[in-house]
Amino acid sequence: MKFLFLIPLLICSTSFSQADFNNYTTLLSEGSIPEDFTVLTYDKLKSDLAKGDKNLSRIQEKVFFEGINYAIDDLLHSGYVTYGDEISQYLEKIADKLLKKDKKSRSELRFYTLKSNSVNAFSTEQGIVFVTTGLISQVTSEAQIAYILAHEIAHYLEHHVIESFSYKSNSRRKSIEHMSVYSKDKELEADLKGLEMYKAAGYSKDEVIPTFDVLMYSYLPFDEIDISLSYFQHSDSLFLPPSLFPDKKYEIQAIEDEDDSKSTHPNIKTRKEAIRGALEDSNKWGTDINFQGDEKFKYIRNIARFEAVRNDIIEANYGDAVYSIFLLERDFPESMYLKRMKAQIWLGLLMYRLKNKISRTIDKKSDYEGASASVHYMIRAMSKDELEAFATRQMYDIYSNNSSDNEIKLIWEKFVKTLAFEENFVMSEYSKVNYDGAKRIFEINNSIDENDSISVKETAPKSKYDRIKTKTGVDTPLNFDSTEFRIYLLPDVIVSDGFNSLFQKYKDEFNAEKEEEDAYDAMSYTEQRKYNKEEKENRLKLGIDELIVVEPTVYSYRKSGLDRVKSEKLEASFSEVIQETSESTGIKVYPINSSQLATEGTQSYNERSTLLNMLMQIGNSDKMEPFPVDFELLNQLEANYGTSKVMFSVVENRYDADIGLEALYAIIFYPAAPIYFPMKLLMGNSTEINMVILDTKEAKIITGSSHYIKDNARKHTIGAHVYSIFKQLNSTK
Amino acid sequence: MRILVFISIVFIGSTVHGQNTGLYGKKVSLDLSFTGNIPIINMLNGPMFKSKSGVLTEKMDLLDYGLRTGASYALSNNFAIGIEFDMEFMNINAPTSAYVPYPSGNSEFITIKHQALNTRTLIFMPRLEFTSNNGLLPIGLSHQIGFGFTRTKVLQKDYDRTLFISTDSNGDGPILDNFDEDFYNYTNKAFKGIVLMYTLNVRTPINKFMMITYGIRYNFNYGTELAFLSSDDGFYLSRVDAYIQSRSRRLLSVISLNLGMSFAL
Repeated sequence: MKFLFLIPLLICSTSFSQADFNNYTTLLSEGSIPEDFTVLTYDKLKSDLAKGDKNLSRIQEKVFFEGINYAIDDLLHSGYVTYGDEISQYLEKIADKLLKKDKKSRSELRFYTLKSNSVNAFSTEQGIVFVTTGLISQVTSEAQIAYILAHEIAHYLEHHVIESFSYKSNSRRKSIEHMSVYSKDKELEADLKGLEMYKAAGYSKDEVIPTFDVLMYSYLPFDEIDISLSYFQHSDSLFLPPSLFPDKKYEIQAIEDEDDSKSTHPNIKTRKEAIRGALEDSNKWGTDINFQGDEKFKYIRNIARFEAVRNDIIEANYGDAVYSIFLLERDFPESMYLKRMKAQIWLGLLMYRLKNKISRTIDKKSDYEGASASVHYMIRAMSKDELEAFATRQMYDIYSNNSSDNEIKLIWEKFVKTLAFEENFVMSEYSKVNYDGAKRIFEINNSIDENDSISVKETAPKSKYDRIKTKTGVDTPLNFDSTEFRIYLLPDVIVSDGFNSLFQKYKDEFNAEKEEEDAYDAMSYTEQRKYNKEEKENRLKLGIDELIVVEPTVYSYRKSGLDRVKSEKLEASFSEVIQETSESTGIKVYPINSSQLATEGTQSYNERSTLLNMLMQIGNSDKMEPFPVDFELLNQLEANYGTSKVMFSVVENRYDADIGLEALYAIIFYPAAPIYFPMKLLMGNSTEINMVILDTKEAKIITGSSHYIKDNARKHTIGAHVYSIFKQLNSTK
Repeated sequence: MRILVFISIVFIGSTVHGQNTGLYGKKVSLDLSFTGNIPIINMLNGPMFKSKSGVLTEKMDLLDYGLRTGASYALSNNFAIGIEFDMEFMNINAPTSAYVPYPSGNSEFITIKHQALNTRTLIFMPRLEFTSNNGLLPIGLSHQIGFGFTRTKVLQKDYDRTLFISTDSNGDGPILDNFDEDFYNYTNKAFKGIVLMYTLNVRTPINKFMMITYGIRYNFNYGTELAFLSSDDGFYLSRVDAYIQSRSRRLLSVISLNLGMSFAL
């Protein structure tokens, strides 16, 4: 009978919907939308204040609940959280097992996935447990996840009051690491309470200590496998000098007994010691490691690992992304998703290198650790010209093997355009023969013994006059030097008709733009002013008649800081006025608002997340105009709405009369006082309305508008400015 | 979403804004507002006689008030032209003594408690209105300057007064039968003057065509016709005295506040 009972369970644990990792698309929320996402923060705050907290005074309650509710909702609406997805469902099932005997607590808790490479999980006062994809990507068993969840559930059940709580989306990774900070005593207490829950659920004793190892090495990539230069050599004829890779291994520095005085958690040694005692004191342990099945665990972890690549691309951490793809390609060599992401990486690296910002995409030298350091080392070691050629080589190989894939084709076109718009990329500098071919030509021309080393500059035995008589060129060099390897990286690329015609097309565009720039430079000052004025006036005239509008973000400040309640109310009011205004300007607006999620549902939530992720990618890109990481989803969105134009806006409002020291002068010279003070008081209001319009096709900001007004942020003040902007957008040049 | 702030700063670079579209496209605004000021400087001259149910008491003059109407047309986001027609009310002191005739043919001074006289000033003023680069006239904070013409008149009404009379050596009282008629010639032409104005004004839209307007105004009034007046016109309050008082009151009335409504068309 016991066996029969297990059969449906086994079926359950093995029959899960398989994501197609070859054509992976990012994790999306599924099912009905939870109330956490639909209830206004203000209402949540009211509810919490009504319940109160006996440990806090009334003022503390207000500060705490306001801070925590808005911080959590900032995160919930950041576009990085998913619900009902496969990882969240997996977590929910683990929670079912952990809280099998505590149905009440189980019903209070919700588990959401947070797309971040930060390795973290945290619970909130309201009963939400967030788990990052970074954490899932690093663990080696379901039991390890279970222990971490048990730890977070213990925080919730024990009503641990957090010491600090913050979320600022402009430094996301660090913020997520510090989302929820308890005292060290509370952490140790949660370790022990969590262990009891973990044990009662029947998980294996052997998985507890390794969980701490996962946490200790969590700053490293999700696996540690040596990568060699050959990974980048797609054919034998492609020569890359060994000097591109480090000649030493970068040791892993993490230690268990690190100084934790400035850390949010006790160090791993302290935690392990505390847990070991508890492990030894108890018996009757279960044996579950992957209760939902080994395959299911690996599958879930793979999703998290694919997300790790995507997260790194959004944050332009290209060095890490290359290494993660290398790791994943071992299991998924045919994954089109990984090929697309790789193409995006090489495009990104090219852009950053050309703008001399490559350091932004790779680790600092002092952070080199483990096998992944080789990738960072290699990218840093290459000069601008070398990386330009190397990235072109890598990109061309991806494109030529997958030219039928639309996304790769578009990335390739953007890549070639980037090259063509770079003055220093001169095709004639590149050889039409590969390194070995050039070497043979050189040897024949210079009669060198084939066994001679070519890694140092050679001295040709021919006389000066013999050599001058020999026709020389990039394919028949006078000297042959392995440090000039880049010249021989693109023999097939530069003779490719497809590449040449595309390159020439963009080069013509570039030249036309350059001519325009030259003509501008030749203008007189007055002409330039007139030109600039016209350009400025025309910047909004795009003939837009349909627009997806994401709700405005409002920051309304009072003297003591951000007034979140007022800001939230203004957001709703401004969303409304944008909708009303659009009707009279000839622009049809498709609103995507967090306040409408209750009626619009999960599809709207996913669309909003996709757009916010694109915005974040652009924001992280240092004006590089990256290729959109969620290209396919954005295409679907465009198909749904019939437009690729999306408007984001932010309104900042504050009152600061800015009465400074000069007020004293106004008092001393009192006739000035009736002028000084009223003026200061009247002009104290300031509101800044910033709006950007993106084209999802290219993840590119196509225009923007900034209005700085000396007035309060009221519904129709904003409406009037929106009207003005929309009228312009609707008109044509 | 703070990333948006960053993006706005980095990507927008310079300010771009719409052109001359007013409040939802409406460029004409009609203003109607009440204006008032506390005549603090004038208070230094002491109280005035005010009437309450026919009883005269000395009180400070606490408020000058008026009504402003105006119309503006926004030529661009930042610049508008307009005209303004205002009406302002102020009080001036009546004389506290009068040289009155007696039947004997002599004249003596008597003391008068006379209710403060009301004056009304009509102002016609073309004005210019401008904002900073990011303005969107007619809404928001704007600077208005204007140069206008004023006409001030002492208003005729049934003022309360108390005359402190005494009899002469014959035991006769003063002849006051025509006192009212002789007190002031209300048919006098209005006093002319000019005014230079600067207003810091805010119009805050409350719907698609109405705005609350408020601001602070600095006036520099100047009477232009003193040289043309005769100092003795046979009235207890001569035109010159009335003019000098009203000019002084207007000159010292530099700052006023206004609050009202504007309508966009």
